[in-house]
Amino acid sequence: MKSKSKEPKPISEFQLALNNFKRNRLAHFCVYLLLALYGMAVFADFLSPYSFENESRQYSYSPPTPIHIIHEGKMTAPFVYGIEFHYDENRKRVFEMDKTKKFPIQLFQTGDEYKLFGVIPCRYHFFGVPEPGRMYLMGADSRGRDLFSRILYGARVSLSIGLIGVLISFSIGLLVGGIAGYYGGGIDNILMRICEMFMLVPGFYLLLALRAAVPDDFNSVQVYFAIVIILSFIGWASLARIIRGMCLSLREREYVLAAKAIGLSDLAIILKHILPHTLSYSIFAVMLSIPGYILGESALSLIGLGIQDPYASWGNLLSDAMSIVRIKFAPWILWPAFFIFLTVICFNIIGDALRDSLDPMLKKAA
Amino acid sequence: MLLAVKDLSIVVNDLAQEKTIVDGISFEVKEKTVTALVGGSGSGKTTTGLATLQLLPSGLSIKRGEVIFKNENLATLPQERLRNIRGKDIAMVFQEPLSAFNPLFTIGAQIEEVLMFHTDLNSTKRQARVFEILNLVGIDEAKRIYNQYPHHLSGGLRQRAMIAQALAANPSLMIADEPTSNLDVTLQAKVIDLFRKLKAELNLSILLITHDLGMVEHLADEVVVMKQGKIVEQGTTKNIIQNPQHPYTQKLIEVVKV
Repeated sequence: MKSKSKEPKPISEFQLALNNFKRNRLAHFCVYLLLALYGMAVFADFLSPYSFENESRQYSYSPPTPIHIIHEGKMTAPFVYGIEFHYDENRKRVFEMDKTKKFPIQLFQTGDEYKLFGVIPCRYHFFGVPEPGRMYLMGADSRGRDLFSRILYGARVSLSIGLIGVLISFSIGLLVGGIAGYYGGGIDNILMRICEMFMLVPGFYLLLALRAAVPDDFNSVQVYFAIVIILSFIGWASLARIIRGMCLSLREREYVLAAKAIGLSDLAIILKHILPHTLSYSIFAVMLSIPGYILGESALSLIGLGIQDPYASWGNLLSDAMSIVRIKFAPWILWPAFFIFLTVICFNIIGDALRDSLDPMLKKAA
Repeated sequence: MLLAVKDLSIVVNDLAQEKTIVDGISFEVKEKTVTALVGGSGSGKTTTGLATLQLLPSGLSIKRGEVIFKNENLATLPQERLRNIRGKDIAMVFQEPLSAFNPLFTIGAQIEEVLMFHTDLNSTKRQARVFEILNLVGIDEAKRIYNQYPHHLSGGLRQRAMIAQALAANPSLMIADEPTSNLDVTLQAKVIDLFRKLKAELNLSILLITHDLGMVEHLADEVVVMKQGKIVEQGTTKNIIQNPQHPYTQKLIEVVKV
């Protein structure tokens, strides 16, 4: 200890766990990666060169635009060439660079109008090329929309669905598990049988069944919330069962009796003196279950039951990649899959690291 | 009369055969006195203490009898009203403060919790009250202790903090369940002194549950001796200690003298 103060500051259990967590470099890196991904989602309209609806059909499935820094043998600022195409003998478009047209990539390029944070009207984009130039960082989709921009916009849906879904399902799971475990007896019995009903049906079919119950004429915001609620509806039961088991033993602790003796209500005891002790489990359970929500949304959108065009989510961007022929001539449409993969693996690594740092038993074994 | 237990019987009811563990006991705790509930292990004294606050563990229940506190029968009160009495009028000090404090929260936060529930004080006033009460139980560095977690404190400090928590809302009765059995002898003497001081300064009555007749002799005004769920003898401390009638009491006193 190099600390010069005489009195070491009291350290809570969570600070201890956090210190442990910081030692895991990989997980630490994943935290920053995820923060970057979420940052991208938040600032999607600023960071993306085009709006998610900006289409130009002649550039359908245009490949990623190469960025050049050497023009006619001389080094210049980064720029892109104009995109030209002609039809080949199979009436397929073949894209070529038109080396006579040069569009410099400019920071704070004006483009499609959007509202920053939903309020401030703004036309500036972080980078872009002036009209009529067109830049497709990750290629274009069938309608000539910029896939990179759409991935950024899609991140908003795909990444937030995990967080909101987990928030809802864990609130339900913790509360139901806490109540069942604390009271025991008949209440426990009823609640657990309800949980089992949800766990009995295979998740994906339940997902489809619940989605079928949602009216077709919902707008995209309503569909979004319907999906969140459906996903959390499926997720809470298994957590509730585990929390219930932990609460069965936690309720016998003497501080629970002491809390009763100072007159706290049952709900206050469950929330303040029992559930916090399950946090070390729930925190990494949260981390490990977020990918499930992201994948669930992707699966629904992939088969066309989720977010609808023109709105983007990683799942519905991928639905374009359902045909093997399309993947063959436009492999860049698989980019969303890479982002899903990256997010899911980040959450898994962080979840694992959290479990290691929160569980004192594992620490000893290591 | 502050507390009167009348013909109280407690049974284990989840066994095939009902088993009586407290059998028709009656005693009283007068205002500003210390009444000691004395007995060996398994005599039912702790169970009696918990039954007073209606905090019996699942499986145990009151079969008959009354617990009259300030003219109300606690045994038949609705939960709502009971919660207002617990901690505010009757407080409890547990045997092992390390397990009776929640390890996740600081000492200060846990003492404040009592005030949060039973008073309308705002957070600054609550904090001031916590400092005041910590000083009262003889903790000088109240500000430091306030931010400590239970496992950071020594056993003696922890027990004082537990007593402070019990006293936070100014109860008129404190039930102390073996408050000194996990402390060494010098600390025991200090806790006894503290109880004496609190009784004098705060007009506090104490129901002291203990097996330690030495402590009883120094602290209690009246003694109730229990054996296997029954009261074998009760009276003023002086009478019982100097002139024990029942052989069980005589035995208990002999142990202390050796």
